[in-house]
Amino acid sequence: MNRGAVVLAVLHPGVAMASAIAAFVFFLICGDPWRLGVFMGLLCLVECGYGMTVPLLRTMMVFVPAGVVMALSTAWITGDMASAGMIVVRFATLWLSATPLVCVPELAFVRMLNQMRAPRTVALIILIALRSMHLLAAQMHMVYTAWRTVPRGGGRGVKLVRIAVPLMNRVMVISTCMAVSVEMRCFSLDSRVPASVYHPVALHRRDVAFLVLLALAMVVAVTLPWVRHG
Amino acid sequence: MGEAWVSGMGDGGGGVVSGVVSHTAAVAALTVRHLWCAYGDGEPWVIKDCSWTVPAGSLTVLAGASGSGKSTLLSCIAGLAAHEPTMRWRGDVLVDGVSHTGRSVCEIAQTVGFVQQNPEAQILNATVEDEIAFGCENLAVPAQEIERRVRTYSAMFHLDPTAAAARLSGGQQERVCCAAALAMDRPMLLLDEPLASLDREGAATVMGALRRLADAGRTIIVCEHRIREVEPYADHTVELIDGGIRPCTLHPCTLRPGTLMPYAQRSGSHAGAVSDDCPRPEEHHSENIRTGVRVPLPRMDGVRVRRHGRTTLDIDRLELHDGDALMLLGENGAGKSTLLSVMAGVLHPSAGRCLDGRGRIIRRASARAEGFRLWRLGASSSGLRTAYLWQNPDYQLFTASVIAEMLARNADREACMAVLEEMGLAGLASGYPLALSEGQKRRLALATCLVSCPQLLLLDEPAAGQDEDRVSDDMEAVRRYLDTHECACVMATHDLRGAERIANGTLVMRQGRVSRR
Repeated sequence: MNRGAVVLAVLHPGVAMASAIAAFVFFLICGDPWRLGVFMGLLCLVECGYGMTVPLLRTMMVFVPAGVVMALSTAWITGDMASAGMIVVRFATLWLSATPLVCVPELAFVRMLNQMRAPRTVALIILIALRSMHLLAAQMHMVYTAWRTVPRGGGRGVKLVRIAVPLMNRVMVISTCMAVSVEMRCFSLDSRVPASVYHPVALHRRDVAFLVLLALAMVVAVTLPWVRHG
Repeated sequence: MGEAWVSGMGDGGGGVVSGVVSHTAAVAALTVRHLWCAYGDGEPWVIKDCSWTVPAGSLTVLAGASGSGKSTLLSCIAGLAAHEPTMRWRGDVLVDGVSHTGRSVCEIAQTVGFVQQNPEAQILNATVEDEIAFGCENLAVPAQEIERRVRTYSAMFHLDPTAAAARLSGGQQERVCCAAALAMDRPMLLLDEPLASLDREGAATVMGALRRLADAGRTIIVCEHRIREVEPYADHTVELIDGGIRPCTLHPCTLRPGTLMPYAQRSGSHAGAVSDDCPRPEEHHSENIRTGVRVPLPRMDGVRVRRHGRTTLDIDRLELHDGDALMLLGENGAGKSTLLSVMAGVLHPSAGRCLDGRGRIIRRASARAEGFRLWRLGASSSGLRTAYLWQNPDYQLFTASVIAEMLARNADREACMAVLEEMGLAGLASGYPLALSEGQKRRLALATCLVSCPQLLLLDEPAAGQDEDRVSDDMEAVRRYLDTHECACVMATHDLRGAERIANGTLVMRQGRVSRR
C-alpha cells in the first residue's frame, strides 16, 4: 500500500531557507573561485549526507544547463570568457542552495508561516512558486514525451513549435487551475481569517546539526586556502 | 434511490426546470436565474437564459454533449465567471438564498466546493495527506478533526495518505481531488467529470461516497458523460441543451448497464441486420474478429518495466495482427498507460524486447533510467507508423486551426475533411484547437491519429469527456479505419461505452501483469 511514499530527507523549512540565504550571501562576499569551490564541495557532501542525492541530481539537470547557456551567451556578448566561468559558478551555488528548499514540502512552509502569523501573501507566493517548479518539470517531460509520438516533418522551427505551443498552453492551463484550486480551498490572504495547523513544524536536532555543518563548511572554505598559502 | 423525479419542463430559452426529490424537503439549495454567459465580447452565448433550481440534499447529474457548456455553467455556480475578466455574463446565482453578486471566490468557496477537470494541476501538495488536510486547515478545522478526516477520506477512496501525489496515476489523482474536496465538508459540491479517468470500482466508490453525502444533506451536482454509471446514484438527471437546462432525453438503452445502442440502428444504415435488442459486449467480440490472412504487427517478449523501485509492467508475451482491436482494462495504476508507452517507444523496458512483424528488434531493454534517455529516437524510428492518443490531448495539439492540425499529419485536404466530418468537427475546421472543449479536443486528437494512417493505433482513454452518441460514432470511425487499413489498435480504457463494440480481444491488467485475457 505504501507505494511511492515520500521518503525525502526533510529539513525544517526555516533551516532550508536560512541555509539557502547563507550560501548565497557567502558567494556574494567571497569572490575567490577556489574558496567557493571548496565550500560548494563541502555543502554538496553535507546535502548528500542528509539524503538529498536524488534531488541534487534532478535540480542539477535544470541549473547547470541554464548556467552554461547564460555563461555562453554572456561570453558571446561581452567577449569575456572569465565572466562566463563565474556565471557557471554562480548557477552552481544557486543549485546547491536551492536543493534543500526543493526537498521541503510546500505545505511545511505554509504551516511554518501560519505558526509565525506571517502575511498570508508570503505563504501563497512560496506555495505557488514551489508547486509550479514541480509541475513545470513534470509538464516539460510530458510534452517532450508526447512530441516524440507526433509524426515528424518540417524544419527546426516547426519542431520547436510542436513543443513550445503545447508547453505554453499547459503553463497557462495549470496556472489558471492552480489559482482556482487555491481559492476553492478557501486559502484567504487576510491574516485575520483563522487557519489551523495540522502538523506543527518543529525544529529538530538534525536541523541544528545541518546549520552547524553549513557554518563549518564556510569556515573551512575561508581558512583552508589561508593555511595552504601560509 | 427513492422516488426521484423531475418536475417542470424547459420551454423555449428560459424555462425553469426544477428537480424535486420526494424524501427531502424541496428547499432550493441552488437557484440560477436567467443566466447568460459567453467567452468575451462578440462571442456567441454558451449559456442562454438558463434558469434552474436544485433542491437541498440531492444528487443531480448534469449531462450534455461535449462543448455544450457544462463546465461553464459549473464555473458560474462556483462564482468563478464573475471574476474572470474575459467572460461576459448576466443573471444571478443564489446558493441557500444568498446571491454571488459582490462576494469573493474565497467567500463563495466556504459554501461551494468545486472539483475541476485536470486533477494534476489542482493538487497543491506533495503527499495525499497534506492535500486532504490543506483545505481543512484553511477552514480552521481543529487538528484532531483533520486527522480523523484524513483517515476517513483516504480509506474511503482507497488512498495511501503517505503516497506522493505526483507519482499517482490519473485516476488516483482524480480520487485525491475528490477526497480533498469532500473533506472540507461544505454544503454544496460541484464535480466536473470526476469519473473521467476512473475505473468502474473507483467510479462506484466516488459515486457511493457522494450518495452518502447527499443523504446526509449535502447538495451535489455532478457533470458527467458516463450516465449509466452515475444515474443509479442520482436523484435526478438533467441535460444542458442549447444553453438551457432540460430534462434528460438520453436514449434509455444507453442507460441500461452492460448494454449499448448499436451505431447502425441510430444511423439507419444496415437497419435490417441489427436486431432491436441492444447487443451484449461478447456478441460484438465474435463479430469483430477478422478472418483470412493477417499481417503480423509488433510482438513483446518478456517485457518488464521498473519505475520508482517497483515493477509497473511485466508482460510475458503479447502479439498483435492487423485488424486486432485490443481493449486494456484494469484498475487505476494497473499499468495500462505504461504498456501503451512501451508500445509507442517512448518508454524503454528494463528487460525483454519488442519486435516488429518481421522479427526485427525495434526496442530492447535499457538498464539506464528512462528520464535520462533524452537523445533516444521516437516511435517513428522503428519503421512502424504509430499514432498515440494521449490521456490529455493538449500535449499533441500545436497549430492555429483544426484543419491545420490535420494537414500537419496528412497533406491530403479532402481526406482530412472527410475524417473531420466523421468526427463531427467539420464545422469547427477554422477554430483554434486549444480553445475547444475537452471532449472536442480529444476527438480532434483522435482524428489526427486516424488521418496520419498509422499501422499501430494506441488510444489512452478515448471515451473520456465524450457524450454517448459521440463515443459510438468515434469508435465506429476507428472500426472503419481498422477494416480498411493494415492496422492494429490497442485501447486503454475504463469507459466501456463504444470500446467494447469494436474490440475483438480484452486484456485485464492488475499490478502491471495480465490477470485475464
